[in-house]
Amino acid sequence: MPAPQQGPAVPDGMNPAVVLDQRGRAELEFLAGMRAALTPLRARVRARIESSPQIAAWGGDDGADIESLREAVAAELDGTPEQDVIGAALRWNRQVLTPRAVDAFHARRDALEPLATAPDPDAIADRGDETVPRYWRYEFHGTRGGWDGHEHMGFVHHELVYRYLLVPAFGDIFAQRAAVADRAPREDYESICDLGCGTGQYTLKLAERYPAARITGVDLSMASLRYAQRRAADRGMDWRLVRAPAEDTGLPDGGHDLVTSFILLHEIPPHAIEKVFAEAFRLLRPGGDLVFSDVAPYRLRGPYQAWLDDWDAENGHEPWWRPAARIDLAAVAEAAGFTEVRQEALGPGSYPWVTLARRPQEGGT
Amino acid sequence: MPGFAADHPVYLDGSVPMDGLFNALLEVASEVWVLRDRFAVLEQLLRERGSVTRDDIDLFQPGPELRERLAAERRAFLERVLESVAAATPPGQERAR
Ligand SMILES: C[S@@+](CC[C@H](N)C(=O)[O-])C[C@H]1O[C@@H](n2cnc3c(N)ncnc32)[C@H](O)[C@@H]1O
Repeated sequence: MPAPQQGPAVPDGMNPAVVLDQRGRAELEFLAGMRAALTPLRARVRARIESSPQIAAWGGDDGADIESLREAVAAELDGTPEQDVIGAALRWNRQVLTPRAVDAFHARRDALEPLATAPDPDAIADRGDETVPRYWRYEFHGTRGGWDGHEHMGFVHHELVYRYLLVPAFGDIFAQRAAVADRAPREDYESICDLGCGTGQYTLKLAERYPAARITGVDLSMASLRYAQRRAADRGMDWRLVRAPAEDTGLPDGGHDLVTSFILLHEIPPHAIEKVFAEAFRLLRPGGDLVFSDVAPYRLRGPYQAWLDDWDAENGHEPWWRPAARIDLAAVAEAAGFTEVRQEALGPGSYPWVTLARRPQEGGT
Repeated sequence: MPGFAADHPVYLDGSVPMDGLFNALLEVASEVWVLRDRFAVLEQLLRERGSVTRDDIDLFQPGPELRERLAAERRAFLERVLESVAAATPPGQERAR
């Protein structure tokens, strides 16, 4: 039984020993509160968009062309202030979020660093800086300095940004990962590879769901991998962690019976997505399963939500979201040689959106 | 006035985007919030303990009741700030969206 706490019960997957000082806590709560306080403005934007019959017809037989939806909404919102204020507020919020979380970490560095440090960082295999693709250096979500902008960025992002901002905004985001882990078609996996594992948010759900499997996590962010190693160790687990691009892992052929990912694909350009499928095929033994979960296609989202996704992607440093929301992953899987390809929506708004496939047995049936 | 002096200068004539002023406003709002939160913690600790140290305040983690009150106050405060900006924007201009 965990000791009763005076402060908030921490969300699933977070370390309850992480305590910020008053300024750090209040600054991050302010940023979360600001997102919440945009609700009335957002409601007015939504009502305006949904009052347009032209926009309501989007996504029907004429197809789901996101550019024309964006144009129609821009015309509808022209002359109204709400979306501009939302945009300016979110931009500031994103800009200061990581720096503030880093400051909060530093204010309590003596207490927090022991909770953040990886037990055996040298055990993380590193394919080296030369293998890091250019697109990965981009500052995703405005993360200052990118995913590796701070020695303990993995910890800062996981324990502070997720806990104070993302969980309050989006609810129990780890339950979604557990649901995807549960969708993999077999029970008896022996060797699972999680591509784009980050700090092990999804990896942990895989490890809990398939306790007999050997777990491998691949990511380009050393800071994230170090904290993933720490999180595994805190739970008595031991994962093989590799710093490499998901499209070129350097891992041996046919060594896994499940290759999977959670929200990796929308961070990489379409040509790299194709390579990731090819790499997954290579990593799987014949008969092995692929399970990739990512953003929902715009065409399944309805006009307001599709518009909002696309607006957020453009204004929130997500350059590859739009292509990922339009790509036909089933076709990509088939082109890479997979069979039994199917796609499933696991939650409201078709998110998480899961693509499942199998590497055919040799000699094929 | 003779001599060399700008008596009625205008510096912020549009070369500084409105976004910059808005960002500054939010910086101030954040700082005001940190102080309001600190006061609430201070008041609660004084009521419970009679005296407090700086560390007491810094490491205090609000319980459910105070947490809820702070969340509601934070939201009301921020809604005021954001709504007042939205209310002041003149209609009929092209904007980036
Ligand atoms: C949005 S995070 C998702 C992390 C985790 N899977 C989860 O469930 O939250 C995306 C991760 O993918 C990693 N990443 C992005 N491009 C990559 C690539 N080409 N190869 C490996 N990892 C990549 C990033 O470093 C980041 O940790």
